[in-house]
This record gives sequence, C-alpha cells and structure tokens, in this order.
Amino acid sequence: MSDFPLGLITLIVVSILIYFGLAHRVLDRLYLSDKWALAIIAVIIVGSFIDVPLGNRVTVNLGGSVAIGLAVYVWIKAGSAKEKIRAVAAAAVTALAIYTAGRFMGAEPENMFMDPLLVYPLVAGIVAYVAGRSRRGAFFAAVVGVFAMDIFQFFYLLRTGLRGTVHVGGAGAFDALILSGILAVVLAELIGETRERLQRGTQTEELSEEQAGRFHQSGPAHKPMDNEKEGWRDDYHQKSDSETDGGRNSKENHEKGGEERQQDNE
Amino acid sequence: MNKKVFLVLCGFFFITAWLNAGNAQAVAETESGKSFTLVDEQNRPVTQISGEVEIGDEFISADNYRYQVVSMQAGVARCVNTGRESMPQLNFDGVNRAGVLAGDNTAAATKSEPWNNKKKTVAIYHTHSDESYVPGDGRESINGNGGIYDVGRVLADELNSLGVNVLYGDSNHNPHDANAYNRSRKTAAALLRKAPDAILDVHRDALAPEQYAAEINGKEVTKIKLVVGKQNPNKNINLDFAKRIKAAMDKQTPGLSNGIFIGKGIFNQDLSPHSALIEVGSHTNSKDEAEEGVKMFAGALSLALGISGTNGFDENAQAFNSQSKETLKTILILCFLTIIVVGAYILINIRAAQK
Repeated sequence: MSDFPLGLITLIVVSILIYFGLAHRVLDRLYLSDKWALAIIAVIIVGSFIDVPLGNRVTVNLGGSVAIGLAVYVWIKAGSAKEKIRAVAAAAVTALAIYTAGRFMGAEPENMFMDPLLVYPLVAGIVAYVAGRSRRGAFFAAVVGVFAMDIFQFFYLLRTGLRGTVHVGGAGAFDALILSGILAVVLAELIGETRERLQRGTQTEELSEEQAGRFHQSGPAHKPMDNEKEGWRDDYHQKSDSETDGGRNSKENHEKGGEERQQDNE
Repeated sequence: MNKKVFLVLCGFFFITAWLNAGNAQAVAETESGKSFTLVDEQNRPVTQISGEVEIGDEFISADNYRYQVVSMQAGVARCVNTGRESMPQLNFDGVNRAGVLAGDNTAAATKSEPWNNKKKTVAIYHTHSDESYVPGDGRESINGNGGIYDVGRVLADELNSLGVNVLYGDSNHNPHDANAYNRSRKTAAALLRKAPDAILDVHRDALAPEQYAAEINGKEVTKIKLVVGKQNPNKNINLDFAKRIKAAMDKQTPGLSNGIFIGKGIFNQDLSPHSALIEVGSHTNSKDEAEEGVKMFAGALSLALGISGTNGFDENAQAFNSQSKETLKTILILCFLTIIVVGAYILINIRAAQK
C-alpha cells in the first residue's frame, strides 16, 4: 500500500474525511457536544486497531463496538419508558427483517435489490422512524439490529460446532455497526426534515395572523443545552417549540414534558 | 406492562436466534440452479452469470468488448455491445523497464525481485467458506471448510514463490447467506490493517463446467472471472484494477480470463481501491483444474502489481496513468456529491430559518 500513487492516497484521505465529517454530524444529532463527538471519533479510529478477545468464540474490536456503547447511551437518555420500548421493538423488528432478508433473498448480493450493507440502515431508518419518529431511535435500531447478526452468528457457531469466531465490530470504523448507525440517522433525518417541511407548511396556513407572525419570527440558532437534551424525540419538535417564541422559553417548553409533545404530534 | 412487552420481545428474539441457528445452512447452497445467459443483439451468447442479473449490469468479455444488459426474459439477458473496452497496455521489455524505473539501464528484473525493489503484499480471504468443487471435494458445499480454501492456499503458495508476501485470512464466514459479506468485512478490514497492496476475495462460481474449462499451455485449467460491485463508491478504481489484472492475464496466459462482470453489490470493495473478487472455476469443474488455473493467475497478478515475474512489466506507467484518471474522476464525484448534499442541507435549513 506504501506504493500507492498519490491519487489513490488522496482518494482514501478524501473518502475518510467525508466519512468522519458525516459521522460528526450524526453524533451531533445524538445530542453529543462537539468535543464529545470528536473524542468519540478519535476513539473509533484508534480503537479500530485494538481487538480484545473474549473467550474462544468472541473478539471485540474497540473502534467498531463504540457504536454499541453509543446506542446504549442513547437508549438510557430516552425521554420516557414508552420511547425505550419503541426503540427496543424497532431494533427487534430490524434484526428480524435483516435476518429474514439475508436468509430468503439469496446468498449473493447480486441476487438482492441492493447490497446488505445498505439494506441494514434502510430497514432500521424506516422502522425506527415509523415506530418512534426518532433519529436516535433509528441509530439504536440500526446498531442493535446489526449487532443481533453477531448474536445469531454466535448461536450458529455454538449449535453447529463449526470453527469460527464472532468479531463484534471487527471492521472498526468501517464496520456495519457504525456504517448502519450513521446511515440510519441520515435516512431518518431526511424523512424527518421532509415531513417537518410538509407539516409546517400546513400548520402555517392554519395559524391566525398573530400566531403566524410569531411563528415567522426568527430566533437565535442555538444548540440544545444539556438540560434540553433529555428527550430523544425528533429535533423538529424542539425546534418548533423554540422558534415559536424566539427560543427564549425553550427550557420551559422542554419541561412541558416529552410525553405531551409526543401526543401533540401523533 | 412495558416490562412485560420488553421481556416478550427479548424472548422472541432469542428463541428465533436459537431456532434459526441450526437451520441456517439449509439456505447455504441453493445457487447451483439459477443462471442467466447474456446474449448480444444477434442472440449470440456472450457469457453465463449464476444468480440474478439486472438491467444496467455490464460485462467485459474475454475479447474486451463491453456489453450492457438492456432487457431480461426467462433466463436470457439481452445486451447491447457498447464497443471495445480500452484496456491498459502492457508490454514485455522487462530489462529496459526495470532500468528506467530504477534510473539505471543495466538493472535487470529477476524472478524474485520486484522492479521497484519493494516486496509487494497480497491479502487473500474467502467470504463463502463452504464453496467446494464436486470433482475433487465430492460435493459443492462443505460447511465452514470448503475446497475453496485449498485453492486459496495454492494461490498463496504460488504468490510466495514469485516473491510476494501473502496475508491469508482463513476465517469461517458461514452460513452462506447474504450476511456473509458483513462477516467477511471484518476479516477484510483486519487484513487491510496490515496495508497490503491488493486484497482478493476468492470464490468459485456455480455454472456448467464448459463455462470455465480451458486448456492453456497443455494444461487443463479453469478460467477466472473478475467481479466488480457497482454499488461500491470505489467502483471505477476497482474496475480499473480488475482491468489491469485482466490485461496481465491476457498478455501472460491468454485464454485464462473469463471476463469482468460488473453487477449489483459492494463485495467489501469499498474498503480498498485494489480490491478484487475472483471466481475460480465452477463447482462442476475439478479442484485440480481450479488449482492449476489459480497458479497461472498468480503470475498475472504479480505482473499487474508491477512485480517482474518471469517477464518484465513494461508500460507500467501507462497503467498507472489510466488509474490516476479514474482516481481523479472518483475524487471529483465524491467532492461533487458532498457539495450537493451539504448545499441541499444548508438550503433547507436557511429556508426553515427564514420561515
């Protein structure tokens, strides 16, 4: 690889920069501060070179398995028990959908309508968004859904007695765990933003003149403060709240409770 | 209540996992029935592809014509011939070439020394661990330890004898299902951490024996087909690398190449610009013939990587120029797409803020 021409090296560098730039945006969507997002990307990169064996059958790559830790963090930070259940249900559905697709849609990627690596986030993004309209739910569903494949593989090896090891997050930064999590959030973001635009258009038409005036009043763009980051419902709920009062009472709006907002939007 | 739902879901998940674990091999090898025949505008067969093809798939034939699938019906994929493919030009003036690259016209290439005096490294692994050859292994699939490993080891030994370092990943990625590429991705990534110059995923195909049988230099061998995934962002670079290997095969061992298929999938080729998937014969060919075929392929691969082998590798610079063009194209596409996506994102948010 040391003999790669400059063009190829440039290509690799550009690809990696774009990939981690996207990863940073996604981590931002998971309510991590810029510093934490950069720290996690650093851990993913360095951890990609570290494999930790856990017994004869399992090896964990620290970089790739960061996604599992993040998924757990996101799940713990969910606003309500209902959201947690929805996320687990979305992850279970994703896992079974991926498994079934892998089993019945042919053994070769060319026999499927798209490569499995793209199917994972597609399924997770849609399922999680339908279940909870949540980008963070999509991340959890994608990561846990793909992790479930490793669990399936573990049982498969135990049951058949075949040689083999399960490498959790084995491809490090480019493992399906991380790729799927990132792409699922991006997909949910696209669905969420599109839906938000459509919904806002309708809402604006229905508002009174005074309300419409307040709605159009732009507020200072700001990143949610720590005390605003409790719920993991879509960002657009919080954005809408903050924009209607110029962002001045976002904390109060938040304290109104994730559950209430959830009902408003269902 | 929520706790109960959670427990039921978890229970359902683990029961499914356990039940499916034993049955997974049932779907392992169902590939040996279905195939598509690619035909040109005059209904002349071009090649056969096992499994599915779709409109837009492409094939570069052994004689370097490029075909694109335009319609499909009952196992026949109709193609248009889009013309002769431009291939890297390789010549055989080893002594001079070695001299030019080394800055010394007297330098001569030897069998064990690459022209640039740096030992090359090739990584090899097998996504489908069960693939086997009926004549030789007795059956087409041996769970977790197929005959494909023997073929891979022969390739590794031959490359070693040509002065190439080999990283051989013999991990088991079964069951043979669509998720096998997710499992082999981890093997490929682990091998790539050791910075090889190229990485090969070695398979065997599932077609009739005549599709791969050949006689080269008096030896019965199987031909070798290269596969490039078109859903892979590195597609152009990987295709260029595949074309270099094919050009080397055509020059060194004419008749060994069975073309390049460009179909759906990523095949983990996004991980390296020098990643290739090869099909070494079919399950209906004998394993001995596959091993002979892969020995000849080793020589062609070393040539494509710029290792002198038994012949010099001239016009290497030209091959690199061709690769640089594809690299530049890919970089520009990546940057363009990034600008479009970021631009659209900013535009949406500006409009939202204005509202």
